[in-house]
Amino acid sequence: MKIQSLDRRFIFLILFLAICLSILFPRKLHIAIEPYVQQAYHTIDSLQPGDRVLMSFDYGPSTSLEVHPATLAILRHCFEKGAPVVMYTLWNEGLPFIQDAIEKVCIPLSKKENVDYVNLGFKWGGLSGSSVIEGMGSNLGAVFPVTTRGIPYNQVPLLQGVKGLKDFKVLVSISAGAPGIDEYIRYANARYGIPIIGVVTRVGAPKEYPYLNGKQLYGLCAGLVGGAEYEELIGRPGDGTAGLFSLSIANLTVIGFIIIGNMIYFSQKVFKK
Amino acid sequence: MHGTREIFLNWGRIALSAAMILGVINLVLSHTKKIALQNKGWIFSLILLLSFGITLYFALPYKVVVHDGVVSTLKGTDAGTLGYKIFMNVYTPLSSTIFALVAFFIASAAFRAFRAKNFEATLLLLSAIIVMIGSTSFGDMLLHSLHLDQFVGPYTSSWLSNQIQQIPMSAAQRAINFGVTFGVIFISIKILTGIDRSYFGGE
Amino acid sequence: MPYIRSIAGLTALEEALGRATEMGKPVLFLSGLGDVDNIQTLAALSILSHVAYKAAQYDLPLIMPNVYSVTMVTAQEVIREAHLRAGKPDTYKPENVYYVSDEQFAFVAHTNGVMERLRPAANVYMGAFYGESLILAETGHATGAIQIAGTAETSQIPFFVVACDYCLIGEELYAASAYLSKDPRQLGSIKAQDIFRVMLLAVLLVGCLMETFHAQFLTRFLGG
Repeated sequence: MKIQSLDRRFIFLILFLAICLSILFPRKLHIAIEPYVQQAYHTIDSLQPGDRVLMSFDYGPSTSLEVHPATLAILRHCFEKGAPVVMYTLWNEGLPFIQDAIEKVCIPLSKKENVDYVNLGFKWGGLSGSSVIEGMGSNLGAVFPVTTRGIPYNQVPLLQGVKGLKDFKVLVSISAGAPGIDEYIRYANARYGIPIIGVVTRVGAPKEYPYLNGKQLYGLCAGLVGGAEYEELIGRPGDGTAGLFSLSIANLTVIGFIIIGNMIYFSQKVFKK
Repeated sequence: MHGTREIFLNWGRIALSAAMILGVINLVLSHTKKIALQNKGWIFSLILLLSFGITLYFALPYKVVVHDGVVSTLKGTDAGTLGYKIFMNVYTPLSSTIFALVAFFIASAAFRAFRAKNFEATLLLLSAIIVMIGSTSFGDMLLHSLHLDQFVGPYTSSWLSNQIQQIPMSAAQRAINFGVTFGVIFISIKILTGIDRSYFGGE
Repeated sequence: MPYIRSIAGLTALEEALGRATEMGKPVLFLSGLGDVDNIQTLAALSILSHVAYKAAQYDLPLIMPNVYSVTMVTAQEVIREAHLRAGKPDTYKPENVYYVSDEQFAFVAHTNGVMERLRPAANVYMGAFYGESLILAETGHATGAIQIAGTAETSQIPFFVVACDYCLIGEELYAASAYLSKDPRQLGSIKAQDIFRVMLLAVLLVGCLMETFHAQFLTRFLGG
């Protein structure tokens, strides 16, 4: 009876302790690769040196812990394949994460700005972003006339000869809401045929499965687990791998609560009878 | 056509900026009133206004720099600036912390609400457990430790979790999306033709 | 009058407002994290009109924090009109409808604080909600409020179903305005929606059967 009306703060405390212990005593888990992460890996792995990649950082601080590890892993993989990357965002909160990716991946790998990567910054396109995406499809320079450093589009070596989306091999949409991956599928892939790889939160992943099955998405990394799987594939453990054990412990703790809750429920039913 | 699109987009951006100013004015006025009247919790209003002012002061600046003969612009939120540091070291952890509360609330909601009261609730409960176990490696590790992996073959817990998400969950989401699409079309027609004016204060 | 099945969440709105009146506590209404260009927000504002009218009749304070300033201004107008219709223009308090922040979790943190401090008797969440849905619903549950939610975000519906007392799923949010107004024209549009849905179902079934037997005429015709 007393457990039934347990103060929820005890539940919070148990979960907090479980996660703390998993951080203090980490273990490396076997990482099973999901087929969609494998698909994303193969799409990037098939790039040739010089093939341009677009990366759209459409997420904010709250979801960054989930999607940023996969973002960094994919960025690293692109550079390993010699593919230059054009980075931008449709969310104003995404700008610092582009900076962070540059600091954590581009600079340590001695990549040259405007040659191996370029930051085009933020462009507002409303809730759907359709006008920006359609504009990018035909005339990228008109949508982003200057980089974040104020350098004109036609003076960036990486963007020489680039007119629109068709001049890119892959678009990586890192998305935590709208505008995001759904808009890219609707406007970029449907109209211009550019292959899209998605990096989304775990909660938002089931929404994208129909697009994977319909061959509109060419790979999907979902949440921290997706990031850990991609890191495993490129052989460079990072934040995703580091957080996987704690995530697993948290999941098991919640399952434990469900089981205990049901045991109490059924014991009360028996007791009443 | 593209020029027209850009014109409308620019108008939209200007309107958005004006809307932000409206919001900021409302915020500042309501909190200033609270401080002036020393209502309960006025100290938090003071902290809010101070935080707002400090962040605006450091994040707004904009200057032109020349580096190696290349002229470029440096905004108050570019890497290395104090505005950027405030965003990455203050706002980002705070936002992540609030989002992290979801984990704790999932635990309390799971304890409270996931009870096998009837068939549908039992189905929900079992699906939740299977999907959660499949999201970790523990399901497969448990099968391996019980020597059951040789019997299940490729049909592991992660496979089952994926099947639940790809088949019944996708089907249900598609069904809801069909309904939502029709709902959007019809409510849009009602709003555009003026049949439904309640969203703007009509009956 | 066309027959529309009963939607538990909308029927419970009256009960929720009655409960708030008895307890002498306010009602909290959230129109979600969308701006006025989001159709879910417009649907939420339509529901707000009915809720505000009832709240004005019962002299209930209606608290509404907003994410966007344009939504705030629109909501102020909706509530003011509702008070006018109820014949109580002097009970309208514009300071109860205010702007908080454009940032998702700053808004959530504030709203949770409002729930904990004011302890509203009824929480109504209508519109586009994202990752904050469970935070709001659980905090509301902890304060003992009756909670009615409605959203078309498929990823958040499960959280609201589990944590709230009533939940409007998907298109029920869009049908709510017609349901509450009882206007024959609006109810007729819901009937038309149902007819189109049956037609779509028929096309889906025929299409599935044709694809099963490798007859791709319909797929090619619809796919262009």
